[in-house]
Amino acid sequence: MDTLLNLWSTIESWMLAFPVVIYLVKIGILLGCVFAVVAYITLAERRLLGFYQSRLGPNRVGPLGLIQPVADGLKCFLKEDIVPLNSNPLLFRLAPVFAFFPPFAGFAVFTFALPWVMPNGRTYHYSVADVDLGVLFIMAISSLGIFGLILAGWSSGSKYPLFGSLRSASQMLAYEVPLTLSVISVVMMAGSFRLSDIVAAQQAYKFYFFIPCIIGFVVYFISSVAEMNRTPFDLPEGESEIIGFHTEYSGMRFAFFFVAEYANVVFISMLAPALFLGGYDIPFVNDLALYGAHPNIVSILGVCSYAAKSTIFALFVIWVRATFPRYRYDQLLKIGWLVLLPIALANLFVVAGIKLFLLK
Amino acid sequence: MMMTVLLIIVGALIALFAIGVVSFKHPVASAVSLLVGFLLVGVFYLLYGAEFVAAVQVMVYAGGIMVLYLMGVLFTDNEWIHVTRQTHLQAWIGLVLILAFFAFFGHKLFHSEYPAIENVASQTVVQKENKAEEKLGYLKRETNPRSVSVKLFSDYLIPFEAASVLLTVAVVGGIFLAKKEV
Repeated sequence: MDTLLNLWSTIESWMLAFPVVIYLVKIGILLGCVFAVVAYITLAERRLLGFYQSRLGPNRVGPLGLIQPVADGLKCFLKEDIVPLNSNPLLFRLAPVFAFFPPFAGFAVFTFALPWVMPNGRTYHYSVADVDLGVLFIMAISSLGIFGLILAGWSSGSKYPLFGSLRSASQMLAYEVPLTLSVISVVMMAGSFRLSDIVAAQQAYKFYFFIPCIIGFVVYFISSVAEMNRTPFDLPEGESEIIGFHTEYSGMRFAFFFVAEYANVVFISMLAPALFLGGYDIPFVNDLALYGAHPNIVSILGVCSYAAKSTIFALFVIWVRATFPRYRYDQLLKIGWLVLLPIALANLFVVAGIKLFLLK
Repeated sequence: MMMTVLLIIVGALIALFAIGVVSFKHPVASAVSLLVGFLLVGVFYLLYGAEFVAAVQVMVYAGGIMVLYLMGVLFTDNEWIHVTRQTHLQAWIGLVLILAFFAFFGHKLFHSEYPAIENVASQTVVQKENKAEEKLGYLKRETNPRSVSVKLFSDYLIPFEAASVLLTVAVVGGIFLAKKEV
């Protein structure tokens, strides 16, 4: 034990000399975890959809089909990468990157638990960069994902992807507004854009924000399903029937869009608990009092609690996909502009009223 | 020193992409360089420590307005661009006028003193806090949304409202121009 601690303090002093190293290590761990989760959420979804539809789902590769994501990745990697003659080659190659980076960049501002305390008293935070404007950063970054779709559709140099991308662009524009408004109701309750502050506010109020912002939570759920392009709003993808923006893409570049979509699912399922469900707060326990006694136990339990909440949210998203049929395009836009937007605005007034008159 | 170098690099890139917007022949190329320009302006704000403005810049201009531009551009016909001339003889007069303009404002910028403005309105705003909020230390910070909005709705209320009137005028004017019959 002592030798381990000595080794650690050597590593620590070396890391403190180059603070960049700490960030690089944190980013590496975070990206590794996110990629693993993204790989296995595809498998979980396919197995669960099989279960809902009374069939088996992929169970051949490895025990219970657990190596299936690796097989999928290899298959996409080995396929021929085609760039259509009629396309704009630069933008055609750039578009998957535009779709790919926003969900992964957004993870940087998450905080996953109360800080870990080392035996020598130094604390380590479960976040890469817990910036003051975390929620605003997430909104700004995720509003850039839409360019991946538009540029992919246009640069393919073919009519159908172009129409597909126009459809998806107007869908994502329509649902980004209610999504942002529902998030703003949480920011109003907490009085801060920082994600760890929002969780701290939920701990201080002793209730989670989905209780005062229940309308906002529902709006958030519906519009984030639409932003993720999933059933019942999967018109941009329409995997088997509708021609979408990524029709001309093949092999690895198609996989980029696919991974980006599932990274978005993971991202939304990790953001929702922090905003509405208390984040790393352990339900029915006074975390802060316990943190004074055993910081590290609370840290570990906090990570588990966060993971459990986001897993439940992600399973709910998959369940919705298995349950509802797809909306028609005009219905989709009507729901966005004429139903969700007024409800989200009304929710702002309700939450402001609750904060002004009920919480004294 | 580092900061100055970064500012110069980012400023030069912004200027480069701004020139790209007006000089690219293809509308989508113009739009993409405008997008990169908007993002770089966000970086510029970040370098000056205005994180709030940077985030709003990226969210509103890059994420909102650029999407509408691109959607508009996608509907345009791409055949005519190869035959259209983009400059004419008046360009030379324009260049001279622009140089004169920048010389004049550069001179004014570097050779005049600006009085410090004292804002007192925000200091009189009383902030009420409820029981749970008294425990939360972060409400006192400068970048807090509460501090930002107190500033915005007291010291800078008139510019804020003037901007909203301007936007309304622009929207009404746009609808009026787009309609064939009124």
